[in-house]
Amino acid sequence: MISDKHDDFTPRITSFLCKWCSYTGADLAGTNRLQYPTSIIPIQVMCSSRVDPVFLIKAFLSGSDGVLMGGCHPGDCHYETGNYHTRRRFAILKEIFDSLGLESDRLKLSWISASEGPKFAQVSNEYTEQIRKMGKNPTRKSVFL
Amino acid sequence: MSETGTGKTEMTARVGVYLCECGPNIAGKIDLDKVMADILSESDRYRNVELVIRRYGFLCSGPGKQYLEDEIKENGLTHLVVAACSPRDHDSTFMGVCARTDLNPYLYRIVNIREQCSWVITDPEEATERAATYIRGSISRVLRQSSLFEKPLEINPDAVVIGGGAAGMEAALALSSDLRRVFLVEKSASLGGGCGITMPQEKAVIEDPNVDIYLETQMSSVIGFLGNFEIGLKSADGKDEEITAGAIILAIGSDYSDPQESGRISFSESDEVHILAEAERTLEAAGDLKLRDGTMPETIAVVHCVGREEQGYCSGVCCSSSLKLAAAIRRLSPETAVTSVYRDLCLPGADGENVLRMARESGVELIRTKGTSLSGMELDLEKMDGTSEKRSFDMIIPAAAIVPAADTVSLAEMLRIPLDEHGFFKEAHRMTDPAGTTTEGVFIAGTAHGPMSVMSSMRFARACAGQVLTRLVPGERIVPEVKVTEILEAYCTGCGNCLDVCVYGAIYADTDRGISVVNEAVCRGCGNCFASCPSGALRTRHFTNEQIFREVDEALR
Amino acid sequence: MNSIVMKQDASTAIRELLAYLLSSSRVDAVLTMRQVPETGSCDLGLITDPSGMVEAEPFLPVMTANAGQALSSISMSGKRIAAVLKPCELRGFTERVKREQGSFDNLLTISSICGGVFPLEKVISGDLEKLVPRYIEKTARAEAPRGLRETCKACEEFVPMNADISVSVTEHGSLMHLHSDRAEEYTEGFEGERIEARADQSHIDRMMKSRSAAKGKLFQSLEKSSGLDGLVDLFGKCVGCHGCSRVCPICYCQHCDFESINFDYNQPYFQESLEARGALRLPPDTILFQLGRLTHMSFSCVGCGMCSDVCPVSIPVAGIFKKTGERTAGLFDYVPGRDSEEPIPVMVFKEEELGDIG
Repeated sequence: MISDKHDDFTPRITSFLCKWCSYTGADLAGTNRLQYPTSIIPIQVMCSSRVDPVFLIKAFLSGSDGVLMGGCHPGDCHYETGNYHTRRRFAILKEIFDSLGLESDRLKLSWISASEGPKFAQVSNEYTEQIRKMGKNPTRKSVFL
Repeated sequence: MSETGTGKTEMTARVGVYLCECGPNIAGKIDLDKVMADILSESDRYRNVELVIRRYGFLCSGPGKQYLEDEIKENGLTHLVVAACSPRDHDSTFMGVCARTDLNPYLYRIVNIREQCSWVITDPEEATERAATYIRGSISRVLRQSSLFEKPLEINPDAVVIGGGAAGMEAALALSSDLRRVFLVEKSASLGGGCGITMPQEKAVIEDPNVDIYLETQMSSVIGFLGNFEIGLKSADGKDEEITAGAIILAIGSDYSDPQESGRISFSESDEVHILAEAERTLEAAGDLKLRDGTMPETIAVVHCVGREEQGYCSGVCCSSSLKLAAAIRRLSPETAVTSVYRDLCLPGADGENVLRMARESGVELIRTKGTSLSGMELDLEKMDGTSEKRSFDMIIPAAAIVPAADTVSLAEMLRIPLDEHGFFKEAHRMTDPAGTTTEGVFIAGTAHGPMSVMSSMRFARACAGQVLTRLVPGERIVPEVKVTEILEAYCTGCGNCLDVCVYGAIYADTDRGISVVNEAVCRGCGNCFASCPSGALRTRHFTNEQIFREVDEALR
Repeated sequence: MNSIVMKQDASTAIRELLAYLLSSSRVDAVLTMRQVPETGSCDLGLITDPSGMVEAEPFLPVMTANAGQALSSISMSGKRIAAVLKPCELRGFTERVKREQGSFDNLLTISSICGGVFPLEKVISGDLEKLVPRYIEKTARAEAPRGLRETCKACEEFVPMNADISVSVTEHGSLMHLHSDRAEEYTEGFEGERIEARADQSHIDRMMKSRSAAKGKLFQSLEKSSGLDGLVDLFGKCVGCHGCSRVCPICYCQHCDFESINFDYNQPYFQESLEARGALRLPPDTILFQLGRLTHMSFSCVGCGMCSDVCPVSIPVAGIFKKTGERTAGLFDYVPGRDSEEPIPVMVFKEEELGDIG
C-alpha cells in the first residue's frame, strides 16, 4: 500500500476516465475494495475521444503532478473508433512535450476495460509511485504560465 | 434573484448538497460532518450562491427519495449535488427525484464518494479530504450546467426486414402484429434463403396479414434514425417505392466461398462437383442425388473444410451439415458408398457427437487427411500416416466456407455500419449489444453477422425482434439523448474535421453556408468531434470546456 | 519532363507567361507578389489586367502574407487563377485544401526552387533594394544569402512538391518545368524552346547541404530554451496578440478556439490562480495557447516563418513550430503539403499502431 501520509507528498493526478470502460473499471476496483492512493482525481467523460489534448495541457499547467487518461481497449470503444483518435492525439501531445523538453511522463494513457478493476488499482498505484519519484510538478507554483 | 445596489438583478443560486451515508459504506469511512463543515467554511468562494448542505442515511431508499424531493421543494433549490455512490447505480434515481419537482434534472450531479473514495482509500482522514475535493469540483461544475429538455419524438413502430431467409422470416413473424407492420424485402424471386431446407415459417409469413412481402426487391436508399427511417426500395423491374419504418433488420444471409479459390481444387463445369448447400437443396427437393445423366452415383465424397484456410476461420456448421448429408444419402440410397474426407472435425454443442455417431452407424466412410486436393473427379488424399492415395468418385461435394453476401459492402455503406475483419456486418459491441449496430435502429440477424447455424440465426432474429419490440412500443415516444453536441454556427469554418471523426454520420456539411450541422437525433454525445474542432465551434452539452476545466481546477485547489 | 527554356531572367519570363495567360483568357486573374516602382513597397496582389503585369515581381524574396492563406477563399470563387507561390505557400495552401478551405479545381500553380525570403523588417528598413541583387547572385550559385528568415535558412523543402509549373534557376539558365496536363494545356502557344530537362540536382544538393547545416544549428539553439523554465522564459515575453496564428497558413479558423468562450476566463479562474500561486500573469495562458496550437496544427506546419516575422516581441515561434512539427508529423510519416489526398494525421488512424502507448 502506497498511500502513506508520511511519504514526501501525495501527488495530484487528474484522471479523465471514459464512462463505459475506465470509469466502470474504477468502480469495480471499489466494489472489490482494491485500495489505491488518494492521488487519483477522477473526471468522468463520455469517451476518451472527448478529451481534447488541451485538457491535458490545462491540467498539467494547472499543477497536476500527473495526468492520466483512461479509455477502452483499442477495438472495444463504446463509440466504435473514438479511442483510436484518442491514441493519435495523445501520441502527438507526448511528442510535443518531448520536443519542448517538458516532462512527458507526467502524461499517461492507459486502456482499462470495465472488467479490469485490478488493473485500474494497479495503474493508479504504479503511476502514483512513478510521479512521486519525479516529484511535484513545478507548474504548481510557477506564476508565469 | 436579488436586487443589488447598482439596480442590476443578479441570479442567486441555491445549491443543495446532500451526502448519503449509505449505512457504514460511506459514513463508516468518511467523516461526513467534517466534509460538510469544510465546504460550508468556504462558501463565500461562490458569488451569489447559497449552499444547503445535509446528510442522510440512505438517499436511494423510498423515504430518502421523498426527503430529497421535499428538500428541493422547501429550499427552492436551483441546483442539486448528491454525494453518494457511482452514477451507474443511482444517477437515474436522483434524476427521477428532480423530475418530480421544478428542478430540471440536468441541473443535478452525482458525486461518487463510495466506489471511488470510501471503498478504495484506506485512511479515513484522506478519504474525508478527498470526498470534500470531489464535492467541491461538482459544485463548481453543476453551477455551469444548463437546463436541458428532453424532446420526445413520435415513432413509427413498423420494421423493415432485409432478406427472406430463415432469420428474416423468423424476425418478421416475431414482430408482426396488428399494431406493427413488417416489410419483408427479398432480393430473389422466392423466400427461404440459403438454409437448404424449407422452413415452416415460410407458410406462416406468407399468410400473415401484417407482413408485406416484396420479392425481387432491394433496398436502394435510407435516411433517418431509430423510429423514423425512410427507405427506398427498388424492384427487379425497375419500380421504385418508398416506405417508412422505425427499425431495420439486416438478415441478408451469406454466400459460399468459391471452392476453386485455393488452387488445390480444380474441376470443370461438366464435372459432377456440387457444393454442399446445393446438394442439400437437391436432396430436400428430389429425395435423392442423381448424376446429370439421371443415373444414381455409386460413390460420393463429401470434402470438409474447403476454403477454411483461405478465409482464415472455421465456419463452424459445415462439419455437422456434411455428416448429416452423408448419413441422409446413405439412408435414402443404401447402395451408394459415401466417404467423408475431413481434417479436423468441428462438432460443437450437445448434438455434435450424435451427428457423428449417426454418420458412422449409417455406414459413412470417414477419412482423416492432412490435406486434400481435387483434380476433375479425382481426389488426392494426403493421409495422416504420410502416405497419399488417389481416388476417383462419381460425385464430389465440397463443403465451402460461409462468406459475406455480395450486398454486404453496399448495404454497410448505405447504413454507415462497419464490417468485421472477414467482411461481415459488425455488431455494436460483442458483449453488450451483439444484435445491434453502430447505427441505432439497425440490427443484424443470421449469417449476415457471420457463420452460424440455422438455430443460432433464429435466436439472433428473435434478439433483433426483442430489441425492436422494446425500443419501438406503438403509441410511445422515444427520448433521444439530450447531452449531445451542438454547433455554434458563427464559429464554424466548415473544415469538416467533425464529419470525418463521427462514426454515426450525425454531422453533415452545409456547403451553401460553409458550415457543419449536427443531426441531434443521431448524435450519441461522445464528444470526439468536439476534440477535433480547432475553432471551438462545437460543444457537447454538459461536457463543455468550461465545465470540465472548473471541475479540474477545483479538484486541484 | 517537358520544360520550357527561358531566354530572359526567370522573373521576366514568368511575368510574360502570366500576361500571356491573362491576355489569352486562359485565366481570369493572377496572384503574385507586386512591387510598386515609385515607392518600392511590395505586397501580394490579384491582377486581372495584363497591363498590371509591370508591377508583378513573381520571385521577390519577400512574404508579406503567406499566399497559400490569401489564395484560400479566392480559389473557391470559381474564377480561373494562376498563382505564383513559394513552395511553403503552396504546401500551406494544400493543407488548407484538405480542410475544405481551398480548391485546386480552377488553379494553375507556379512555383520555384526557393532561395528563401527576407524578414519584413528588411522591407520596412528599405534595405531590399540593396539585398535583392546580392540575393539573386548568391542563389544562382546555390549559396545562402545573408539576412534571410531563420526558418528559410533552415528550410529543406525548397523544391516545390506539387506545382503545375516549377521554375529552376541554375548557372546554366532558367527552366520552366511542366508537371501536369494543366500546365501543358495552359502554356500551349507560349513562346519558348521545349526540351526534356529536370532541375539541376547538384544545385539542389548544394543548397540542401547548407540548409541542413543551418537547420541543425537552429534546432540546437532552441534546445537552450527547453523545459518548463525555458518555455517560461520564451513566452514570458508574449503579449497575447495571437498575431502568430492570424498569419499562419494552417490556422484557418475564422474564430480561434483559444479566443472562444471555451477559454473565456472569469473571476473564479483569477481568484484560484491567486490562491494557488500568489500571483497572476496577464495576459494569462500564453503557454497554453502555444501548446494548444501545437496540438492543433504542428504536424501541418510548413515552416514559412510568418509567425516569427510578425511577433512583436521576437519569440522564435517559427523555429519551435518547425522543430516540433517535424516530430509530430514524423510519427505518422506525414509531410505537410506533399499531396492534397494525404489525410491529416488526426483525422484518420490505423487499428494497429503506436503500440507503446496505453
